[in-house]
Amino acid sequence: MVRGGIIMAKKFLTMVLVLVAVGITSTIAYAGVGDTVPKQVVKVESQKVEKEVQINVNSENGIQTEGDVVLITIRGKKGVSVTFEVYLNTNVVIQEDVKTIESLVEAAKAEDYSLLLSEVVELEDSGIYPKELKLKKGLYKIVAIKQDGTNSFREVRYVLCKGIDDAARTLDNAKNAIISPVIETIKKLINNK
Amino acid sequence: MKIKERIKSFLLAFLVFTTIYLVQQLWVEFPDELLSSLAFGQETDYVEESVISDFIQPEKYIIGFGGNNRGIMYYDEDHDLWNKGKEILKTVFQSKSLKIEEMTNEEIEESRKKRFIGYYFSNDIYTFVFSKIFDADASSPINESIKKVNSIYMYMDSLRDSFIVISDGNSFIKISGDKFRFEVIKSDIDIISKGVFTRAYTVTDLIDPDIKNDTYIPLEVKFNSPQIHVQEEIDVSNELVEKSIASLFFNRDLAYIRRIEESDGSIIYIDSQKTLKIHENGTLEFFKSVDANPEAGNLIMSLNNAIDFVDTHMGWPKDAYLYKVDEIEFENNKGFRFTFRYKLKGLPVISGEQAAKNSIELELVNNLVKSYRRHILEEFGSVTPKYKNMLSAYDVINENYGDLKAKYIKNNNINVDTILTEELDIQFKSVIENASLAIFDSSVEGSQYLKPVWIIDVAGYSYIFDAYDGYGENGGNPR
Repeated sequence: MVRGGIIMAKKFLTMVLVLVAVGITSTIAYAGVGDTVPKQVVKVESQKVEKEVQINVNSENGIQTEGDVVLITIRGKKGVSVTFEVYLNTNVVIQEDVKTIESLVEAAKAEDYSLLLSEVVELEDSGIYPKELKLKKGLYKIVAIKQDGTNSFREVRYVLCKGIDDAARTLDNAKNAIISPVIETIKKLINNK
Repeated sequence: MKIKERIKSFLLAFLVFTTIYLVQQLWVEFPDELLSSLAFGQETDYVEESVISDFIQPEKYIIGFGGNNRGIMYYDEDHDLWNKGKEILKTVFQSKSLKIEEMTNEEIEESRKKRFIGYYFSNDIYTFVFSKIFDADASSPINESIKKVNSIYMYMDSLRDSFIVISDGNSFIKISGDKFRFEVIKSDIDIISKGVFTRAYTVTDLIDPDIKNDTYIPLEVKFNSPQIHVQEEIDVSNELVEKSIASLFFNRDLAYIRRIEESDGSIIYIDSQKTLKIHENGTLEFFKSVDANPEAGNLIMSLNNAIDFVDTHMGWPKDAYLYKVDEIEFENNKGFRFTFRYKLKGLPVISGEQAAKNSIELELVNNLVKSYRRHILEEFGSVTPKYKNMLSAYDVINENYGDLKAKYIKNNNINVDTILTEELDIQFKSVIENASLAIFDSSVEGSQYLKPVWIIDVAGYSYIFDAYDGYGENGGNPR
């Protein structure tokens, strides 16, 4: 009985080993076949998910201070023609401690935006069109539109410019007023904050 | 009558002595002084002594005003930023109570938003050279933490958040723990921020937010650099100048030195130990035999000797700076090759050729000068174009994007069939390594003016572009 059990166990172990060996070999073979898939196929797939036109603004949370210059870059494929527009809405109530702009964007009325800039640009070899924009107080709407026959691809970004810092304004006013030791004290306070 | 005769005799004697004195001045001393002052504009018995720190100069300055507001300066005529920075660095290098630590990537990224000034050098400089010029101990902990330096940053957000970073491009060493006196530089940064300045953006911000490339380049430049009219420093056709130069290198009567005039107009002076060649294009070459000595050359001693040698052998052009230090070996003796360049109108003068034109190059073995090569152009006028604006580094990259990318593919033997177009594009944008402004000597026959150019470094190659029309001036030189 015991001997028969040992033989059965040996047979079972052999079967497991054979199954494991077959499993590993087939996995390796499958991976090898996968590598031979032409790259062109992958290329087509990756192109499908690429956006038609993109806007990037070098502003961390979209909130800036008056006088700041932001860099706007329009990205797309080489040779694509894009209409680039910038609108400014000065009828927004901006809290000093504003942290996000979503609620302001939702509350803003379309008729409050006035067109500041409109350009039709053709993206060159690099597929980039950069533009510097010096900000005044208000809510900016930046729009890029790519017209492709009857289809239109549109990308929008918002930037809020909340006005000059109180501290900086105080310092500037003080500098332009009477020269006094107080100015130096204010300067030191601001520099050491 | 007697008195009259005596006065006449006295006058006659006075005239005779005056004549003798003047003749002696004219024929014995006067020609030497005349020649040397004509050739080099300095007195014979006065040599201006230079020191190493005179030759360490940044190639450009990046100024962070806080957040994403940054400016870039390629020359500094008004603020003396480097000399003020050197004063701060001197106290840092001499300090005994420093905290030194390597920055993490997150810390580096965070620091970009602070208020700072960054000094960028054209090549790596040994850290102990800085120790030497700041009279610091050779065993300074800064020397131990980083061997070479190619950029130095001073962060000055507040007194509590003041520190200095020294980098070789790979690692960033943060130095803190001391009270840094940034007040003077801070006030300059305030002044610059309120004026018209050229803004700098990282390649990531400007070209592709999906890649990591912290190279700063300007999108728009707010200044126009001039074209500079020049002449060769050495006019080989002037025999008086030629002899004056030769007498500097051979401390004896030139009558005993062999002189050879070559068919192309070059002149060679030769004796048993030394050879001097003045080329027809104004290049000077000097070779001297050096005794073998198993003792290895010392970098600082060699550099000091090289500087002293140029001091006494034709002097330095204005705004000369140490460009490169190479280690060399000559008949089992170790030594160094020092390449100095110079600036005109605040910008480095460069040549399209790889040969050492527009530079001063010295090879020292066992701390002694073995060879000296010099080619300098002197400015005699400049013109700034009024009716066209200079292009920015971004403009020239954008205009030549396809061409630069094609060269990147060729230089790196990239098989375009095995890589996705987008992936290749990302790779290429990631290897834009530097953009600098320079004054270019195109070496065209008969060309007597130099023009401003952008040098764009891509994956180890330097490409030169006309700063006004964006045309390529070379096919790319290995850096």
